[in-house]
Amino acid sequence: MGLLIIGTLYQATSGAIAAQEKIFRSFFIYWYPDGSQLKIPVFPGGYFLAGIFVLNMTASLIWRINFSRRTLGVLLVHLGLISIVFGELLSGVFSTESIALIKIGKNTDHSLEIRKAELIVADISNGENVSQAIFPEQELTEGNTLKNRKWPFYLNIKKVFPNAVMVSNEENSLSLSKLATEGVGAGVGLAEAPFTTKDGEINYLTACVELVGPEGESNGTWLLSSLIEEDQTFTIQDRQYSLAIRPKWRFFPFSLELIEFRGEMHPGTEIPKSFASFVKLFSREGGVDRQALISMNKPLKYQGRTFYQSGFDKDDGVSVLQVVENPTWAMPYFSSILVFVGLMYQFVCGLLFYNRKKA
Amino acid sequence: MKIIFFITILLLSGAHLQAEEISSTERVFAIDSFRRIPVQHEGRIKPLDTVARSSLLLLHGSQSLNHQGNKLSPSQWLLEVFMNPKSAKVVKLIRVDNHDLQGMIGGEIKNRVYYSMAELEPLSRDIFDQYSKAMVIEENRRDSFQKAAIVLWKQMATFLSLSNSLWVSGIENVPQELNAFEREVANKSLFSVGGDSKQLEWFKQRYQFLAEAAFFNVLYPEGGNKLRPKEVSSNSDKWLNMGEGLLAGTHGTSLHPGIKTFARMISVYQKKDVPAFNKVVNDYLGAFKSVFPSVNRRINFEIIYNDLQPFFVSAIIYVLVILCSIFSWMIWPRTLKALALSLIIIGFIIHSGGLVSRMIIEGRPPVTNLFSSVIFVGWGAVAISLVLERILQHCMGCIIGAVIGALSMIVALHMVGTGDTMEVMRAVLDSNFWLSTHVVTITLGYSSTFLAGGLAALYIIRGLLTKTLNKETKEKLAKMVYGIVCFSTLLTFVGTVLGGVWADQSWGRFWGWDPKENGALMIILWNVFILHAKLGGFVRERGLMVMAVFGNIVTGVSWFGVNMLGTGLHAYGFMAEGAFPLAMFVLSQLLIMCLGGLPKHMWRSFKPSS
Repeated sequence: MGLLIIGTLYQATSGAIAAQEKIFRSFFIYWYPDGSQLKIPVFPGGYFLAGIFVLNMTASLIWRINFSRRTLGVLLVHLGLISIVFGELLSGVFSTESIALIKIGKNTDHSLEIRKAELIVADISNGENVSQAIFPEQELTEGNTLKNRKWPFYLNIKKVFPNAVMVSNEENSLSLSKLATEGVGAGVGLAEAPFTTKDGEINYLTACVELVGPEGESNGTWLLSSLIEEDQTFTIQDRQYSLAIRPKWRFFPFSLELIEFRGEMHPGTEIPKSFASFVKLFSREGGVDRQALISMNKPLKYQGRTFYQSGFDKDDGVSVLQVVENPTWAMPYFSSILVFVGLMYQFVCGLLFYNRKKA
Repeated sequence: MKIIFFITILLLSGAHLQAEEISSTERVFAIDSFRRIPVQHEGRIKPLDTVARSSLLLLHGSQSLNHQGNKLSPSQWLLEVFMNPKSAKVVKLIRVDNHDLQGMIGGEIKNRVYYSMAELEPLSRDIFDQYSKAMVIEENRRDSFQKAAIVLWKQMATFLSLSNSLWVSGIENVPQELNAFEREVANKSLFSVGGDSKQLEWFKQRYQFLAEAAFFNVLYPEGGNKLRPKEVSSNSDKWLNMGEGLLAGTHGTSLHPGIKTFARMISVYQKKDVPAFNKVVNDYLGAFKSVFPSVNRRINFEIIYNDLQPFFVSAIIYVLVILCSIFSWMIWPRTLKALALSLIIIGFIIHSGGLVSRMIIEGRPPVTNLFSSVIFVGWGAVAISLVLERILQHCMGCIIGAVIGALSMIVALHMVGTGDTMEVMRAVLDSNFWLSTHVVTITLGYSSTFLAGGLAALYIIRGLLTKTLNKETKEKLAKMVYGIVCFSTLLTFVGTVLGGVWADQSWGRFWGWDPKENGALMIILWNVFILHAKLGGFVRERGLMVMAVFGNIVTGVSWFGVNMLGTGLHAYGFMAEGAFPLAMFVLSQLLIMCLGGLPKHMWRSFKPSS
């Protein structure tokens, strides 16, 4: 219970995601004393307590509870509880949440994991996407070099900023654009920002990379960020490439097209009454071609992915869908039923027993 | 005996109803008809009476107003605001409690709580300044002055909005203006060259202001609800407000008849022509009734609900039950017990009536927001306590139910000051199925935890202070508390799981470590601790009682505390003002727990009789 109290208070100040990572999904809660590099565990974290809980439950099953008709319910309850905890652990590890943005009339075949970033270099000679290389966030550290055997250049990562924010223009003294010598990045107003854990805020990873050509010559320094939406391109040995940092893409083996968005506010208010996306679903092989309505409280489930209507951007005409992949989705249902049956059994037995005693 | 009490009380309630009726003679403005005029506000169709009551509560802190020796009902006040803003602005209306803010406003009388709009309007600039500064700061970091400044600005804005809802405030001769407007529009369509005349431009700007300032939309769709004429709620169609209706007229379409009606209404009121006013209002209501008969029925039902004030009445009855129960232990046991039982049953019926009325008016399951959850917890507790009374006797069930019922009503009645409690549901929560399963189960779980804690508190107080906690009563109470804790564990567990299932169906996540979820988990855990402690022999009777009382604290904090934190998906009833009463409640329960821990020989009931 102490863990829950600490976790809830932490969430109020630091946001839900941080609370999840630091308090509930860790072994210990650490205290970082100012000025030192120490990490002192001060309170058991979620995993630790859950571990003890499961051990406790198992031990109680083995040693404490005598199996009989009377205690069958209790047995079920404890088994159910173990599986709930186990299920939560599994879902923490195996489930992924991402966001799909679809503009009205357009389609998409991927979603974005907005809390992760990736750097992508694509060979776009002849106007087509011939090949590409994707470097995940873990490789984007200062001093690292990104290379690919196919291509006659590499990228030196000079500086990495965990978060950035748009500022008025590139003349702004805080702007990082002065670090760039080439590309769109040299002309945007982008400043460093502190890493945020607040609910609803995203960190936009930003990096300053140097492009080094086949003979080791520098082809300039480029500023890359998820906030920069335009393509930054360069040409080496007669081939054209594009360079960008973007939120991590997750592909689906099918496409979703947004035919229409039906949003209704309660009349005369800004309170959403119903939001629904009318989409068309088709797979690349051409096997599936059907329509579906995704509305709040009624998601679309297809091929292991569930699409929930999350919101709508009026200005851009973009429907925001939450995409969840959770292979362990059935576990909480299964465990809850176990516990419920166990509880009902005990409750009913208790009632009957009480009535018999009275008579 | 019980039957006599029953009938007497019913008759008294009937008398209470009679007193509310206002006679509609030829010499008095028909307020009772006026307040039935339907308007669309915050997505819901409601009578002007509801608008009047909730606005008056927001501005004045109470549902009646004293002005120059007269007591004004909310609708009478609202009528003045619409028709006679000059006099309405002089009324000492707006309630300001914050001392610093009072100082800023000035005024000769110290510690005055009510201020008139006439006094406040000159200070608008300063007040808006403070409001803007306060709004920039995060909600939970504002101090009391900043919060009060925000409230004051909202109160003033509400008044101004209301006074500009039927026409531009302060208008002297509406029909004259309307005629001039119609002439301009006719001229424009005749000579359609060039832009609008200056006069027409003036009208357009004026009515644009009206369109933006209106508090509610009053012009109903004339054709009725074309698709579903018998539809109970026409909530899907947007009504026009007065300004929008007038602006629509500039495009050449004929003016909505409602505009002319209200123009005449204002004009005859200002001329103090009572019969003409009454006729306009009644004709208007008749026209509405023919277009939207079922909405009209609902509006009239809402008026009855507003007048009866079921929750306020049942709160009073519950308090009477508490008094009767306590006195029944001292004198006239049989009479007072019968009276207490009759009263609580009647209180419960009225309470249930209020709940059912809300369900009918909203078209929803009983719990949709924090206000209705509080009402429902009280209802659940009283319902279960009626069963308990049958088992425990001696008014023990009655008093617990009445205490929880009365307390929950008091909490709820404090929450009405922020507007209409029957708000519309936002899309993400809009699922009648889950609202009736998850929310109802978990609030019943809260009820039962409070009930167990209440019984335990009773055990402790009776045992310490009186000799009446004999062996038989002790054992009965202990079994009851244990039984209720079992029941509560089941309910809160099922309720929480249903919440998880709803979340999984809605946004793909069964458990999100949201503060409310954590709170519910804490209640389950504590209930389970109690059961394990008793079964495992870690505590006996007294310990069980003390733990059950702690359950009150866990439930109270988990229910309200998370709303005060303001984060997470469940922060839909943010109320920082509740922090102090919640703290007091927690302290009171801690006190009872300490009393429960006192050594046995200090308990009057356990002392050996000498």
